[in-house]
Amino acid sequence: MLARIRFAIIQRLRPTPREIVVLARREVDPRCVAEFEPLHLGPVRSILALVGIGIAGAIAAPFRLLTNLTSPRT
Amino acid sequence: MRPVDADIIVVGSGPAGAQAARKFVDLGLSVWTIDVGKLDLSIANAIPAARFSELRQRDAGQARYFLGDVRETAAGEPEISAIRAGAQLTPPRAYVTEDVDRWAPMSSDTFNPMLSLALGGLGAAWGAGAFTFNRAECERTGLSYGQLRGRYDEVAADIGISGSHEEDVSADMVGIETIQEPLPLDDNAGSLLRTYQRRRQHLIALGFRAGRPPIAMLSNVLENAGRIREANPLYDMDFYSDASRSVYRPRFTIDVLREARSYRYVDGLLALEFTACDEGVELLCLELKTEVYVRFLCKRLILAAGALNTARIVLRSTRAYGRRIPLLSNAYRYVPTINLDMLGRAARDERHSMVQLVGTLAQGSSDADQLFVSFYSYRSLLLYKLVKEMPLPTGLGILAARIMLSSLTILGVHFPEEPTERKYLMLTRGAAPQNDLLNAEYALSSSEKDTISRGLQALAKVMRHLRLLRLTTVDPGNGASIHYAGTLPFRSKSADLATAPDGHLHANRYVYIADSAPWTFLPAKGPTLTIMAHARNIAATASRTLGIEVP
Repeated sequence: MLARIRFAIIQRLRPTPREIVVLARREVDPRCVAEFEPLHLGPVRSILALVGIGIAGAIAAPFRLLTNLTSPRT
Repeated sequence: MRPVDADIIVVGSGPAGAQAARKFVDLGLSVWTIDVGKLDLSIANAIPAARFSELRQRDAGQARYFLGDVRETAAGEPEISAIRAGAQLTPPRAYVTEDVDRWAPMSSDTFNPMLSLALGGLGAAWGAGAFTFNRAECERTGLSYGQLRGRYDEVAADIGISGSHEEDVSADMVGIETIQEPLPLDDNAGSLLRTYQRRRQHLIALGFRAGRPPIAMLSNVLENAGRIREANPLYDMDFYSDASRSVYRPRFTIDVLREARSYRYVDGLLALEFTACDEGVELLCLELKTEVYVRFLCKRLILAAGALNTARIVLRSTRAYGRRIPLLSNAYRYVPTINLDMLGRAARDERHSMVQLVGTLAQGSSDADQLFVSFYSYRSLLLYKLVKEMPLPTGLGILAARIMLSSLTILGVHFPEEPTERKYLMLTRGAAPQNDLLNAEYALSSSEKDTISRGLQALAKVMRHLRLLRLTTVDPGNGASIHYAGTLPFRSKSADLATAPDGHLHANRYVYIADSAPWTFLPAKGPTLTIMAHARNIAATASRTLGIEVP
């Protein structure tokens, strides 16, 4: 049961199909290629950046959950 | 007596069908291949010969091969065609599964296999891992270890395999004498292999061994019957294009065979059922363009349509509607991880896209019980597929993906598979033979679930030693391993819906099964090379019954 609830929450926090289509089209546009290049920040800064992204995602999660309740998910 | 159309008819052009046909032709027999033979290289041929990074920067037409079509779902939402498929089925390879729902219909709530009616079958999207089975795996599978050894070398000479005899895994999976030198590792895999070598003693004590894999991808030029295939250019475009013909595809063998006078490739035909006759075997097919039934005669019929479609033909031919037959398909999990030694570091651009390293993890007392791990680096499948899985806004997701990219390591984990009563196939009669529906039921027993769970726990220890940080573990569902077998098992005594030890169907001594349908066990390691060697062995056996001397 807990696993199902967890999955449902994660599913709601994932990008919508429409957002993914927009992102994918941008990724295969040569003019935007720099936005998708790997970032080489070094090990320490990379870990800090990932932790920061995780915290930002967690702070945004309740608001996104509320606004995403009715939007479809893949 | 009517004249036969050919000494041998082979059904299917996949890894088994192509290798069986090649062996028969080499032995001087007349051979026809009957195949649906879907093929569409229009997208693949439009890809310029350049590195992934160059194409990304310069090619304005890249959406066609990287994304494919964007269509609307039933809910009215846009969806990229490439997103629903696995890594193998990029837009240039979408033809591999085309028309399967129409001509090879299946129904199941618990099993979702990938089937193919393409020229080359599932081999047209093969990941190219070319592993030999060890003695214990052969014994459990019902294959002769001694007979397969020589056949592996024959296959290797035809398809070209690169690898090394010096790896910790070599004794277990490189039972081939002549192989090309290994392809260079990418930076991520190189770092992982160095970590393995530093902690080798601890890892071997845990039952884990790793190394560079044998792979059906060329590191040097290979000439085969006057046809040249090039070394892999390390463009990292192997999921999309076979431009250098470096990664083996069964259609390359069919191309060679087409030049032989004694060989004919007949496409556009769906093989339906066989019947015994005075001349040998009569095969009923449906011509797909006209939907007209046609019949062919041969002395020996070789079924090589893949374990599921071969079972469909046999069940229909023997009118065994409603009868249950066993089904084997490796349980599969994939585990995205971060290689901590590569996090934040730059990686070289030159690389191939296929499996970089492989490992085996001992699970029981037998060498057949080990689980098998493939290590892939991630890049050419694009970032949007990663972002789609992250519970983050797209902006943050893309930032995380860019940071992780050079260190992202995907572990594909396969488990060995035994038959049980809860995994089976059954054919339901349709309005016409081509409408018969293959039903599948697949449920793991609690003991199988325990084995998988224990295997993943043991692997978690290995990952810690390798400095791999696990992000999640994904169960892609039953049938996702794309390894199928066991539907017409070997039986020494005559039995319905079973195969004799020499490969002929008990129900008809002129019909041979050349694919993995007779195997009574499915080892964890990729079976494709063994399917090919087994098919050559069946061709040798069937040829002997026609009075041909086989060395």
